[in-house]
Amino acid sequence: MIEIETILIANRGEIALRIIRACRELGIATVAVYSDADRAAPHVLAADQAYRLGAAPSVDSYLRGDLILEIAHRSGAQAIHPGYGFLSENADFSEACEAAGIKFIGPGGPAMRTLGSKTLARQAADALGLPRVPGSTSSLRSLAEALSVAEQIGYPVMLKAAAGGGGKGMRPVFSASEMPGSFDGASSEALRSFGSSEVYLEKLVERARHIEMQILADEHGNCIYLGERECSVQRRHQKVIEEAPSVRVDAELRARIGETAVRLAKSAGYTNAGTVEFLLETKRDGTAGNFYFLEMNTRLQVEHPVTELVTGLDLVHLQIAIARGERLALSQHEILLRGHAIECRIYAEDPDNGFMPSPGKITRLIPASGPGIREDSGIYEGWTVPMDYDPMLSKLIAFAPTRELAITRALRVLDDYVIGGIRTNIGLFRRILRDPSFQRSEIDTGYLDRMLAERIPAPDSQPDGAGTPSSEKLAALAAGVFATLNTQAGGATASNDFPVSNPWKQQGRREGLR
Amino acid sequence: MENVPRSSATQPPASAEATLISLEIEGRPYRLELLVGANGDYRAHLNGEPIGFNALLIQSGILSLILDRRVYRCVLLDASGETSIQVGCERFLFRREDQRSLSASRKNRNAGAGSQSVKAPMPGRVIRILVEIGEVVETNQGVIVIEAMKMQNELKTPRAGRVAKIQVAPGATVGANETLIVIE
Repeated sequence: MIEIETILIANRGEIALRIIRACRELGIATVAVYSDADRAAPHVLAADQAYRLGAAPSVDSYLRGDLILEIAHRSGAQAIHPGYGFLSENADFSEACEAAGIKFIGPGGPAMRTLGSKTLARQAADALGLPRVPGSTSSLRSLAEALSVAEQIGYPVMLKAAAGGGGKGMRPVFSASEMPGSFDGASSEALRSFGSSEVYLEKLVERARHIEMQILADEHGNCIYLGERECSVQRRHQKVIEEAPSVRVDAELRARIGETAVRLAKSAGYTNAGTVEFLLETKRDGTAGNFYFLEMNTRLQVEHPVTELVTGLDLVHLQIAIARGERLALSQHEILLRGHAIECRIYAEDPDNGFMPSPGKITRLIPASGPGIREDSGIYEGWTVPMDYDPMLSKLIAFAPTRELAITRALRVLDDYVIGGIRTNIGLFRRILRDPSFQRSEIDTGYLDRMLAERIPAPDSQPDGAGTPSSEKLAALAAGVFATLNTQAGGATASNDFPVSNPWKQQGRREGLR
Repeated sequence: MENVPRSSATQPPASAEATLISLEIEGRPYRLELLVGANGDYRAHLNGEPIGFNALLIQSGILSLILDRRVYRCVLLDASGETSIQVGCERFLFRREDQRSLSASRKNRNAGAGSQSVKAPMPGRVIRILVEIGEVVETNQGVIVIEAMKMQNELKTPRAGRVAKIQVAPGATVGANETLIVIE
């Protein structure tokens, strides 16, 4: 057993806060690290100790494993929680921690190397005879090899970065003539994003659902699965909405996918929390077809809260227990799913303007709350969201007895939630959650991109009763009241609050209904 | 809380006390006469239509507005130079007409001749510049790549012309609305 009294959190944003909260619940002291852009970030304020890492760019701060280990020693931390992103899937860092006598809360280096690499994980799946998406099991050495592999498995195919994640370095290829440009594009994007230009090829399974299985493995050979997450609502291969459970997965299929995930994890001696991703085919009649292994994420994931809500477990608590060397206190038959959870990833981006990122100062924040709502947030009113990191602001998670109620609950909280000063994608979620296809769960990984391409006009205004004034008139009245209040206050805040000569944009931005 | 009865709202407000405000909401002009009564009761004429309502500022920038017994949450928001009012979950861009007339500023924006610039739509870092000074560019041609939040965005020209000025260098940090490249 390892004594863990202090944990260093090698991350920022909502996930750093979420881990700090779990530590406080367990009586564990916390150490935050921060870049120059993040001195005012909420995770720094929430921790017991905080150390500066360096300049804003990740390579000078949150990716500085050497510095983070040194801070772990100085601060007296016995363990490091890497969160997601940054160093979380860096096998060298996991091994450096072990060599330095600091417990890495995640899998060991060798298991991470085997299952975290897309190509090695595919080889591991083949060795076990697990179903996987057809394609290459090693990196493509040349364009010629890419063309010949694609010819064997048949178009359309998907080029993917071997070290990839987050949709970077991915290109669908529909014919041989597209291959040269796509091969170059995917390789160079992979090099830019992950420091490795290695790409491999997979059959593009069209109209497939993205289903992933959460697993937990202790250091005594026990491994269980905690049920699936449905993550088919994606924009350019990045998850936008996640749910648990999936409408298309029944108990029998859940057991088959779960046992497949557990076999894969055990084969590599995997420990701690992990997620095995699958594609699930949809048959003509709409029922679930075959499932195929896609890849493994060797860390805690963004969307872990939906699993926590339907299982009633706290994954970060369990990660820490596993890291201490404890045996899993749960056996597979004790994992029961109850209710339905839906997560919306709230991003600082503008859906009305090509999803342009929108960093800047949050001048207004009305948080989400109420029955069945969990807000995992990394922001506060008055904070300036830096331009240096990913655009995730918070995660809104709705939990209810049924999927239908979870959707209406999410819609209710999206109407309450206000983030002002920067653009956000809150309006996009209102649109998706009201979409009849989504409500019937007729979704696949191409669903959202198709919906956005169709440019369906925003549904016309809310159901206004007869004789109810239009919202625009109300806006005019409110504007007038704000104007007079400013005048009464001596105009001290008038210049801040009240626009008089800013460039005027004619186009409506009725974000709420998009 | 009771509203001002509609009947009393039909009385024109005493002009000596009424505030006159000209507004544009989503591009449409509104002329608002506002008379403040006791306890947050307002009598208004919006483009001539009489309306009575009750309004209470519950926090800076957040108004609780009651009209015909219906409650509306109105939130004042501003983002990169644009101000809007959110009523419920619907947002409306607005500005108060003041010193500069809108038609004049619009004329400036749409001027066919003269120079036009490519501006940063958000704060970010300059990754690449795709043109050189003196180069002839077409409308909608990518001229500069800005990165923010791990996303690279290629910015395009508003119209055809010649690159007159490049005001930034690769690696530079730029603010929202900052002029990057001037096209003549």
